[in-house]
Amino acid sequence: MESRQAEANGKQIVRSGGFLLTLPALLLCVGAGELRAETPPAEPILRPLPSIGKVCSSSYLPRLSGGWVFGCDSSGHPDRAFHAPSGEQLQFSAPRGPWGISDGLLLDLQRKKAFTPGADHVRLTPIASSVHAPLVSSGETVVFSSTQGIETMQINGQSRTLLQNSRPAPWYRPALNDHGVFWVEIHQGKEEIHWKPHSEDVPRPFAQGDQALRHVTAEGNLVAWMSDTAVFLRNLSTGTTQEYSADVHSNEALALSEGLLCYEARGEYDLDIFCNNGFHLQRPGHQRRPSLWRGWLVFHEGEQALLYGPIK
Amino acid sequence: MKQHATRAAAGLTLLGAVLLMSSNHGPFSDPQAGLSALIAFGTVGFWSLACVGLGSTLLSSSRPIHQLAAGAGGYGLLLGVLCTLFGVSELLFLLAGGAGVWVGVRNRPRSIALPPTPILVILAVVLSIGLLDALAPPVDTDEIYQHLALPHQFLLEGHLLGGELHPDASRPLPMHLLYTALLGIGGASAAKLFHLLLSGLLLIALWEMAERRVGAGTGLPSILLLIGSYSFVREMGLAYNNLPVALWCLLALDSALDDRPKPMALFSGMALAAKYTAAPVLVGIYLAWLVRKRKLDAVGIVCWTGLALLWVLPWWARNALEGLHPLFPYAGWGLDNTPFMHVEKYGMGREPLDLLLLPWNISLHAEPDSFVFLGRVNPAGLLFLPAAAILGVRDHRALALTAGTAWVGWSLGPHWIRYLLPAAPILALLLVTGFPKLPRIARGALLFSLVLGLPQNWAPWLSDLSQRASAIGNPSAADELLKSEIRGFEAIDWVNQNSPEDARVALLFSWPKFYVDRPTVLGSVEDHVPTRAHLGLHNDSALKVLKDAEVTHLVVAGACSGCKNFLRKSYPFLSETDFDTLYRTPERTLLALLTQEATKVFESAKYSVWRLL
Repeated sequence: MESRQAEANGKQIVRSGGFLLTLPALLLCVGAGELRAETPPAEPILRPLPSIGKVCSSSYLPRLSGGWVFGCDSSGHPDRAFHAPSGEQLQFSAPRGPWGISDGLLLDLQRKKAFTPGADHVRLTPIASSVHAPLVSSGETVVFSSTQGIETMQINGQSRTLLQNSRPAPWYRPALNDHGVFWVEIHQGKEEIHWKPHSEDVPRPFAQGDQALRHVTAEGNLVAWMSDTAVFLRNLSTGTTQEYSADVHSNEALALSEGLLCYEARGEYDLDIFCNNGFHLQRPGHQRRPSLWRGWLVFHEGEQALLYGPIK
Repeated sequence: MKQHATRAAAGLTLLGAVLLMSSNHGPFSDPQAGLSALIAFGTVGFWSLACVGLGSTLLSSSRPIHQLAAGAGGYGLLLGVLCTLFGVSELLFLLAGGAGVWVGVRNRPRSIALPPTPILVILAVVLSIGLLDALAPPVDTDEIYQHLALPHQFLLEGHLLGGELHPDASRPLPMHLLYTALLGIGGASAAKLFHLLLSGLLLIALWEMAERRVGAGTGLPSILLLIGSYSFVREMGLAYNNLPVALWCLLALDSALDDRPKPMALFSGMALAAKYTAAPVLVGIYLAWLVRKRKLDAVGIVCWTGLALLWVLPWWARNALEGLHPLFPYAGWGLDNTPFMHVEKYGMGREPLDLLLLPWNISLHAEPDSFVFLGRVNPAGLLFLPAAAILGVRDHRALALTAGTAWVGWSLGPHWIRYLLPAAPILALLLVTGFPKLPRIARGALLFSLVLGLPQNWAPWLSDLSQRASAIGNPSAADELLKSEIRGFEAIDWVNQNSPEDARVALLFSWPKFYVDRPTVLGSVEDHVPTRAHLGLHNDSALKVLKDAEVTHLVVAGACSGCKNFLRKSYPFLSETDFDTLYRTPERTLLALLTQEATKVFESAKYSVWRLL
């Protein structure tokens, strides 16, 4: 796997070596004991997830977010969570309508509430829109993609705002960071990334190209997206863009946490997990759908989800 | 003067009806919907007259119902030839239909001899309920997968389709071409209304034939046996082909019993071309004809069988010219281990005792929504059986021979009530043969038992209709209906809204083709033979073959963790190994190929859309 670091204009390219992590190098923990992430183990561990490890029909779950690994009920909706640092397991009522998971927060639009498992909920503003992608939140703001357009609301707020002239493609999650709101639009049958900077009123294209660009995710100053053959990571403060060339078309989302960007890509034999720090998780079979939190990784392998970490 | 006044009044009434239908205060919440309904009715009128015109050419001395039915079958073949030669277009249909209308007007069609008023009232009530189905947006699986989907795709592509990627279009398509003509001008409701018209004519023909052949008073129970059965009424307002086949079979029998071999052969050919499940009925009809003639006419059999086969030979030749088995897609897939149907899947067993108990089981245990016959008939039919067997058969041996042959033929095939529909009117005729000889109180009891059988037969029909009826002429309710009733509609909607104009879509383990506004390939229901066969034939290159056929997008069902297109419990007669080979392996093959050669662009529940790389 080759990674390229480039400026926004794509001229400066720096090769960096990666390291390969294979099964013999992993300590496979099969017990159901606690996992103390506050004091990271000297060596990375890999373990199946107790009780919530079965991959769900929505393919979005199980998913690691804010330290919680969210699992699902039989219909694929989140109704249980496993706290990675403490090993605590909780169950809750599965959302019946539109939902989303961000920063450990489960957004349940029909019940008009958002909550971290085990904690008190906060209120969401009722909406009449037809939501067609999972909701996303960042701090106090929730963003969702509806048939009317991209809409935002403040948690515990009283109103919501529709971004005029936004035409988000269904299924693709929108994204939100310190600089703006991002989403995928389809024009002439091809996906491209659009955004609305917080400082501006009008949405505009963010990334377009010959290939379909999709699966945008963001945090802080960073925004990541992908084509069929590359993953892109742009720092909006510095204006630099890194491009990681790989066969990544199979991704259904990108994982981004504290600057670490992970994705699935075709390795030597099958799909593996790669990260932008050179990390490569290679095991027999496909490793898919990575989600991240502070160096911890949850991924899907067949019909089983596994927890790995910390990524070094 | 009086004649002018009458005409003026009629014209004004018609104009008023049109204005009312298309106004904001009309019966539909959307004036456009009222106008669409009017166009659908007008299209059906146009094609009915065209059919009478062509039918009067084929059968000049026959009754109007015979002529209309013959014209419909005639157009089924004629349009097939014309569309093969000149492509599929609305203009072609207008010209072909216009010619029939011209002949029809010129020949001045005779009026149909209608049944007495009480019978008409019963028919009017039932057909009015069927009318709701005909005007509602199509959501029935077979309509949106095949009967309306093929016409929609023919019109979209401008030519007939066929072959491994369009297996359903490789069968004889007489009804589908009529539906194409109706759909092209009058929309889906026109096709459904035309089917409703044929269903009504079938009931009138059955009543008339029962009264004429079996005896006075037998018309009512014979039609009640049909309209009191869920499996019959549920299809009336849909664009299907079983009931037109039943009409052709009934008219073929009527002709056979009158020793009129030409119409017998014509109607037989039309029925066979519209559905191969008519074959045992037709064998019975030919046997009845021989019994009626009282001599073995070998030359006649060859001659009239040849005339009947003219209706299917062009379709068989078309398949052969395309390198397919003439009976494709029922045979010739090139995969030994992929049967077109598992006959064991339907009914309540196939042991000798099960076959003997079929009349009992089908009458009392059939379920509309399970493989236990997948339908329902009025249980009162069972009560007619002893009287027919003891009192009726000896006077109606030819009829009994036809019904018996049809029954045996159906018993040997899949025990799905739908496949019995081509024989249903003939079976009803046989069942009422003992009726006239019964004492009055027994006749009353039998009629009453038919009424008692209505609730469990009409309840599932009306239940389905109640959901559809609210969507008539109401676009937002129609949208909700499509989303709630059609599996994978969100994925189809994504394709229509977001895929490029020149996209070509393959439906894998999914079927709502009628609603895809792009050219499609494959598509399958239930056992998903086309999809499984494609994956089985091409294995690792299955998606490459699709890409070579200019497919750009895939609509896939079950490409998610734990999602399954096949329930193990539906195939208890298969070993684990066979089930895995036949059903799980194709799913696994597809999942592996999708990961390598496609990218998911949309997902909703079990359905996803993929773009081929």
